[in-house]
Amino acid sequence: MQTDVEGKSVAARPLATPEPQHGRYMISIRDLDLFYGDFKALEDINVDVEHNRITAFIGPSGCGKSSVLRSINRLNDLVKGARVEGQVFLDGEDIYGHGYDVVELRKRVGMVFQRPNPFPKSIYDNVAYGPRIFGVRDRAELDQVVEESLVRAALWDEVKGKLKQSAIALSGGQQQRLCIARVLAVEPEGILLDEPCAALDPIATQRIEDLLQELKKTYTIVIVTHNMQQAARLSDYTAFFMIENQGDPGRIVEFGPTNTIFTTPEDERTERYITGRFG
Amino acid sequence: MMGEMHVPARSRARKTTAKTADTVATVVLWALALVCLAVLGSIIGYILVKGLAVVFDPKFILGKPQAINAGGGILPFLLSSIYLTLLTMVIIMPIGVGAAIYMAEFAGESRITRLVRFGADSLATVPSIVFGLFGLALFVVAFGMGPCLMAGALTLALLNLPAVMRTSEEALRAVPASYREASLGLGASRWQTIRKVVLPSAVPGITTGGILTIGRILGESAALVFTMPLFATKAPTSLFSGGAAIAPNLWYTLTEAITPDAQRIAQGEAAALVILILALNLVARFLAHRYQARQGMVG
Ligand SMILES: Nc1ncnc2c1ncn2[C@@H]1O[C@H](COP(=O)(O)OP(=O)(O)OP(=O)(O)O)[C@@H](O)[C@H]1O
Ligand SMILES: [Mg+2]
Repeated sequence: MQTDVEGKSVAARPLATPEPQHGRYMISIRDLDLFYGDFKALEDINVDVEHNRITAFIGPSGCGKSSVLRSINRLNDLVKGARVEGQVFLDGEDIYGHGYDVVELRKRVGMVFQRPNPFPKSIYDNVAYGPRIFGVRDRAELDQVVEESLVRAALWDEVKGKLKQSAIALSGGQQQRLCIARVLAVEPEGILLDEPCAALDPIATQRIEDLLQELKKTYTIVIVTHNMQQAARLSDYTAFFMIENQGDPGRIVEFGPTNTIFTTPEDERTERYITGRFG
Repeated sequence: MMGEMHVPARSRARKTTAKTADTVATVVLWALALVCLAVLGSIIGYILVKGLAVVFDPKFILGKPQAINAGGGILPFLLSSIYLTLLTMVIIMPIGVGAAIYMAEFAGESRITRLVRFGADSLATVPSIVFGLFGLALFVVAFGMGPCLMAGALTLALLNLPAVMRTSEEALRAVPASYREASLGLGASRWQTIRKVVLPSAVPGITTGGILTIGRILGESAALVFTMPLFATKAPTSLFSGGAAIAPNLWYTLTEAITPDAQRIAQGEAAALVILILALNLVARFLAHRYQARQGMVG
């Protein structure tokens, strides 16, 4: 076990249990290291994501929060030179195990990206993309899914009259909500959101937060956010990421119930970060 | 005005220099653009001035070619050129785009793919007369087709395939990785992602390459000198029948023809060729535009 200067355990994992408990946790990350070529971007990541809870990832820019999300639905497979060591269990099955069905994995765990990435198609076709992929052809059914998803993503009122228009013409914040709607239309079990509110105004942010609280009843949610209040308000568990020195891999400094992290953190670096004194 | 009074002298001087440089650059670039336009305009203008009167004579545009007498028309040549273009494009686009999809999406980066790319780029610079000789040896002689529509189309396909493949590949590579991630992230398979997101996004780029190819096919003569008849009084009636395309016939008319009005016919053919190329360009562009609007690719 590695230790820092004060002799304290660096990779504190108060919640992550040594053996994944599959009933309670949807996702269990165990000793995950991630490399981009020769660069080690993540080290010793251990996180358990509980069913029907919101888990927040916080930490300074560049510490690997997005990288962890992308490891969870194996989008790093697309990055040339990216390599993963360790395990990520989804309901007890190692998604990096031999012969694991990646397409199935991504159906079950949806992703909303840090930068809005709508397809260069109409608003309607963006939301209907997933259902169509899974074989929904019936027009009425598609119409209904599209409307429902847009309503839930707090975008319906703004676009209901122009569903045939290009998604490219929407504002950044609208595009991000469209991307959320697009994921909702697929009805995954888990949703990974990478700073979904970064480009949103306070009203839309509030709507998204309400949505996530609502979704939590049926979905398991992981959210990356730079907004401490948002993490505190919204999440049940929080993982604080950090890099010690420039060029070091990102690690989880502390992971636990959001209440504990924000009121009585074990690590003073966590405290300094959440009170805004560094990072 | 009020604000400028507070600007220090040195910064004001720098501002003036920047402004002068800006003006000079604008003027120079304008002049260069004008030169290009002038060259292009005078070529097209010359061809049209000489040829328009000929082209708009229905006896010419709809008439039958004459081998010996004056007063021949060019309808069969026009039809041959259109058939040839269509046939070549039908051969070339599926193969070229298919190969491009393989190269861009599946082949990855290896020595073999680099070799294929290098080979394609090299082939694209081989003079077309060489392809003509190759077409003669392979299609006309070895396959026993004789000079005909198919032999010409296959030769042109070989000639243009590398460029179509490479421009399509570049168009596919230019599709942002974020589209692929979005699609795969929603649980689409790789093939679904290519078919529904990557390929549609690359269509404008692929179309641009296709339009350039159409222009090159219509204007090509060297590759057809040995693979299609240079003169024929009828348009092709089947894939393997003869028929002369307009560009090689233009060359033939000016160098070999014995009709007394060869000069006039050549001028008319040149104008017809220019108009045909412009028209096909416009149609292709219009179709590409409508496609983009239908797909919601433009805001
Ligand atoms: N595709 C990639 N290739 C190479 N290095 C990468 C790649 N993606 C991320 N990295 C590197 O990995 C590290 C972690 O990046 P990541 O995007 O996961 O950080 P982050 O915590 O999400 O930051 P931010 O809060 O700014 O979004 C950074 O040093 C980054 O430069
Ligand atoms: Mg990030």
